[in-house]
Amino acid sequence: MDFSLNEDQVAFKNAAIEFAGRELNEGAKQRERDREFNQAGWDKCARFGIQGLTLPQRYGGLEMDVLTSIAAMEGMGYACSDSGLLFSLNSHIWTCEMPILKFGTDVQKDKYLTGLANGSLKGGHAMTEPNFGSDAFGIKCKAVKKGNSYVLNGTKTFITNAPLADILLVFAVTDTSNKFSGLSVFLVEKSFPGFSIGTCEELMGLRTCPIGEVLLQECEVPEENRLGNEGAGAAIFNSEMEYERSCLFATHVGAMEKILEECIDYAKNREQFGKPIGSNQSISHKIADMKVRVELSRLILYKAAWMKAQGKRAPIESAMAKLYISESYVQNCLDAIQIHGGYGYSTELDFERHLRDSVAGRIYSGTSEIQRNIIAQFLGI
Amino acid sequence: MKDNEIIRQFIMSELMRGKNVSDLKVTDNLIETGVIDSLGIQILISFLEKNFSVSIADEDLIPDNFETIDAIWAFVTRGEQ
Repeated sequence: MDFSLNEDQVAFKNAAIEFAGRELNEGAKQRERDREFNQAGWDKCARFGIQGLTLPQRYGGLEMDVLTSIAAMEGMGYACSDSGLLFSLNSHIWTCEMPILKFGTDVQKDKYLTGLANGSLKGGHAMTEPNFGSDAFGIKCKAVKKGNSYVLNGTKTFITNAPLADILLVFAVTDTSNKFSGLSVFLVEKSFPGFSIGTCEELMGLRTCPIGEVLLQECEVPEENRLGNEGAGAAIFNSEMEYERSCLFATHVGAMEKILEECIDYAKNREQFGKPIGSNQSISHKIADMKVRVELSRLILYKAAWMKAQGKRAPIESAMAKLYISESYVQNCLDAIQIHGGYGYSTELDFERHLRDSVAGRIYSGTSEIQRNIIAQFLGI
Repeated sequence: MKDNEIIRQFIMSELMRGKNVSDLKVTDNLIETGVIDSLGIQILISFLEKNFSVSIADEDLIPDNFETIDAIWAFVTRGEQ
């Protein structure tokens, strides 16, 4: 297996770093305090091609392979200090565009993918409900066939992009007799009657990403907006979760690389007791461990992405990638704060913001505990 | 020779551990009875891909292909027919 990036991939990743550093960071700190989404940044990302990274050129996308796409997103994570915007972009790409591309009809693709690629439409998916998080297939949102439409009733919560989304992939039960094959997916536009947004969440991190509640009250969805067949919800969910767990965390690896560099620089230049603090093994070993976590995170990220690029299934690899990278990001943030002492704990530097953002990674896309369950069950235990 | 018994044995030993497995029939509905759930199907697919040299796409993960042991057998051997 060769996961090394070729010259074009390296050049594209560097272009993403240069773009993000130049265009996305101005005012980021204030937007974070104000919980403000960076609409201008979203538009700039669209012009650069981020929203269309993986989509075919016929829809205005860049038609990049998965590995090139995650290299670019790793670059974005390295240079962009607005994790909320990155999370919003990731959800848009992996949980909306990819399922439509994979499971959508030609009509659905023609209708939605061009707008999603050029950023004029924002997308996401809506699975989680107030009483069903880890037990994803226990959801209660119902879709009842009525003529040529489905009528959806239910509440979705913690839905990324919901307050701004033009289209959401809503998971609903069409057959209540069983969990696994009773789920279906619907492409729900914000303009559909009965669709509304409820409370917007105030979260510890990812504060610039709009996350909120979706209310479906007698929401009528045309039959042609069902994604895949009735009962295909579980397959679609598993597919998008594999992509998300394999690819979304590229931005985390980029962020970890940047944090590591800042720690190395600080350890070399910050002097206490007449010598650089990096000359103390308590510091240098901590940084060595951070480096190991960055490299292993990148390896498992690239392996999972490589498998997806080969068209292979990667359920255990994506679970391992998601688990390891998200846990490593939290630990490296804690180490960075410790190395920087009082300055690290201060909001003047960016480590505390990284830490708040990183904790979410252990929860969304399936908690760390769920990832361990998946891995253990694949091991037959 | 591989036949649907190997699938039955795998399901009984891996997906039905701790449950009453004495009378699993090839026509029993595995989905309605909860034998195959969202994670179980992933484990089953890995087994089928390894043992039957088939590549299973996400689009193939529909109830029709996995409802019963007979259906699974028909699905993994359809290329041979």
